[in-house]
Amino acid sequence: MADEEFCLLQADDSSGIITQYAKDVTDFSSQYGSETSISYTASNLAQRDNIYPNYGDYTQACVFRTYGPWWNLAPSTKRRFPRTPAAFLSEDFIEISFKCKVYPLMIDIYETYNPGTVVRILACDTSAGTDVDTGRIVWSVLWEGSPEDASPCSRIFQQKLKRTDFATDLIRLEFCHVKARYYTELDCVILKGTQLPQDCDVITFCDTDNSPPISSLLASTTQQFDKLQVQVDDEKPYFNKNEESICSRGSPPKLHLSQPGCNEQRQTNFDTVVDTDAAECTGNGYFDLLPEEVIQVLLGYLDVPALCSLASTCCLLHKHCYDPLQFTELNLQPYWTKITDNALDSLHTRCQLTQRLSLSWCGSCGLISNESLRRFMSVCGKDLTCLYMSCCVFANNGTLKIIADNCMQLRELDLQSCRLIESVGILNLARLKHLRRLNMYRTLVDKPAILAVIRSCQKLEVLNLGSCNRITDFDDVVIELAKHCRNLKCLDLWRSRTITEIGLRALANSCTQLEELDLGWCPELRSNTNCFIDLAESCRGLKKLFLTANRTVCDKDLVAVANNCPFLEQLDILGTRQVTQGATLLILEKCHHLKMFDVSFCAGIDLHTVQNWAKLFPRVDIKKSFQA
Amino acid sequence: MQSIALCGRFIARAFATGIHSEFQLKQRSTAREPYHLVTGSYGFSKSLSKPQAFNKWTFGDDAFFIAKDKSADVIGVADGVGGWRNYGIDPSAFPHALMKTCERMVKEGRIHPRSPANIIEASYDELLEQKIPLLGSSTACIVSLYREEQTIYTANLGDSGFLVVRSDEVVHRSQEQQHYFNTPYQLAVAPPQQEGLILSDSPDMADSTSFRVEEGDIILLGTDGLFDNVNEDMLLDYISKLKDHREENVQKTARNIAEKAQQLSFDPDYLSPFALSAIDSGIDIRGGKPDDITVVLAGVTSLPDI
Repeated sequence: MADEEFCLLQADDSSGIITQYAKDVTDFSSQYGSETSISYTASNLAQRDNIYPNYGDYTQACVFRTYGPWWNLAPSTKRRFPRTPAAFLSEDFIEISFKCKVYPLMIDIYETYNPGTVVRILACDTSAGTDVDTGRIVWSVLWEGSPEDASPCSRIFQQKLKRTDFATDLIRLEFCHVKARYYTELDCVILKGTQLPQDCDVITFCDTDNSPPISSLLASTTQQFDKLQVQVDDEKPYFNKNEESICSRGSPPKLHLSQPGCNEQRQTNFDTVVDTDAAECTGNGYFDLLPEEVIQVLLGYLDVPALCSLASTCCLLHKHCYDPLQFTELNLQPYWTKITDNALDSLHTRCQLTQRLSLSWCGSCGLISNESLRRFMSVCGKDLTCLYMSCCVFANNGTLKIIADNCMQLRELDLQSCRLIESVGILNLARLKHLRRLNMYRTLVDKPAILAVIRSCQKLEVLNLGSCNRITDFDDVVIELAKHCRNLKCLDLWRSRTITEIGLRALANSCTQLEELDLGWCPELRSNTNCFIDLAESCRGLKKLFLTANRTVCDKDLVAVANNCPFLEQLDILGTRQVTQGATLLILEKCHHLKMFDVSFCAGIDLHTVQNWAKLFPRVDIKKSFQA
Repeated sequence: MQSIALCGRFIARAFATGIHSEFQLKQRSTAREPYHLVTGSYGFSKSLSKPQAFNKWTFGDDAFFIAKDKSADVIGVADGVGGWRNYGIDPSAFPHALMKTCERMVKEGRIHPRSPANIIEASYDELLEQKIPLLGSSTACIVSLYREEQTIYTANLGDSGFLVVRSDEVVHRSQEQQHYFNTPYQLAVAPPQQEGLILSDSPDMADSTSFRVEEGDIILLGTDGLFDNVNEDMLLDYISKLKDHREENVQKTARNIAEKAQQLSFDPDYLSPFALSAIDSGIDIRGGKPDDITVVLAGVTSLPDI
């Protein structure tokens, strides 16, 4: 598809530096545009620039689905995991491939709207996937930073990259939109690198070994073990053995007495035996004085890698660090590059009581197999109430069967952008009668499958069917939803092309507790059927309502919303010509909880008016996007 | 089996064009270099006497594009329907956005060179995906040269059109599509309250043809502002003066044709093709038809770009 001659910008023979545009977008977490379109889609990041130096909201840009804090403030937001490292900020990602493999030197990211969202750049060593020793691919972080509130002008984000000891043709960019005032938009990416390793001295010390000690500690003891084995073999053989016992058998290490630290502390030890099964676990210094609960609380402040490394210090802390109560909520998403089959296996003993688990983004390029997930779920799935698997490339129909077989208590399931799951697999979810929250955004779910799930999961409260373009008749789906799921609070129907006023009216009549409804880019909903008025009159608790790009939305709809929905916090009416300033002002005046109001591309509302309103209503963030 | 299928296609094509025999075609397809297009373009807006160089690829309510991908050279024109001005809507926005999107589709290699009708259809769909609520309507005509096959594939919706000229004769042309006099087929996006009242044809109403071209053929693509004011003999006259396919000469000829069309369009006594057609429809008018004029001229050549 990509025109090859355009991809290669420049190959300089003298310096050996190759400059190239991205050839293709191979994976991404979300996109604004529809799956079949070329407007506002992730694929626009490939190939050469066609917006820069213009600044604004352009169709040919790469745009993600969300921005700012707004989706996190909506009723459907997920509860944040404890122990998530503060440094892990990524919310979205995009993976891009290049024609030539290079040792990366520098990357240029053309940001043409709301810049400052790139927080991490990674490179993939795909050739390691054929390595018979490790048998796995390696992702290496080449740059990390914080989101900025950058000035609103287009820019080339130039970043020098940490050197790698491998050549790469696959780059991953991770984004955090929290500070973005509106959708961030990207034009293209240029990668500069050499075909040969640049400097042998540097290269031996590069990669993860260079990073600060704590963050370099790997997520799983298994991987830690891999590394330790190499370093330690000649120096501290006992440490190595210790590690082995932790990860492979899950039993406490027997060698703590030989650790120098323990011997010293022994002198100040009291004879109190804290734990019955720890007859040999004395000699832990002041830690023996602490009640177990206190130790547990203290450990609660550690992130997962720290917990894993602490487990290798002494047997008392090992016992506490391996306590399943420390793992009732486990977020593995920040460590997605490190989570392998082995890592999952090593977690079995610790995750016996796990209730919330995030495997989002994990399993890229074959790091996780369904087999290890089956082993994990058969041991740890019974208490699981919440499972996030967004963008898991390994997730297929078999995965869903494993989940349905083992996790009968599941209340929350996130399958966002899992592009392999189909109707056969999704039918399994009908067995999860307790499901309350289900995210199917950008999956290949079709009508029979989702109908089966709706009929049996009648407790559903939050459902995301955004960009599910295999569903051919949304009216039937929504009518079924209205019939069975009366407790529905949040429904995302973003880009549901086929929903009409029939479906919406059924929903409004039955699901009166709705707090959040996204009807963005649903072109078949016509205002002249009064469906929006009916919605506002029946669902008075609405906090978030998106009517994005519905060209028919008009003043009487806004008047109905203003008069009936006093709790409204977020409203989006982008792209309608029918709305006048009077009705818009009424919304601002009557909805006292309003925080965000998107009136972009509304022909009847000019920028000057919006600026005046911004002064009059400082509590409301009024959005007015533009295309220069 | 494959060769039978291939023959079938050639026969079908020969049938459609009524020009070539199956044999000639088969011989050529193996022997020759791929062709490409050398293009020139010029035009006028009816409201201004000089070309609007500041707005790339538009002349008044007309828009056009010239683009290529790795297998095809594609040119296209679109003519916005001026009636939208009465609704306070800029009639040039729609055709301009349509052509911009077509150009993007081609440049990004998202099209098949054999199906220009799909370019129109996909681009029309993309217009509805824009955040900006675009309103308006437009005709569209696209010619795609599939270099390897040395064949042009065309799609036409409305009263824009093209001619293929070989040795001073028109060997292939588009069919004009009109609902009734001066009301061409058109793609449209209507405001919500007027849906159903506004004439709007589906992109798949486009008339599609294919035609085998030869070295030296000239393709003339234009909006109705051209064809309503300049008759075919005059056009052939200009094209016959084009001796080679150097880009500056193609460009100059395009300019000459456009200037002639503009001059005639303001001539009150000239019996223009438009006036003749009007008389046929029982309307007595005379003179040229002041309109936006767009001319895209393309020479078919196997020579590398100069």
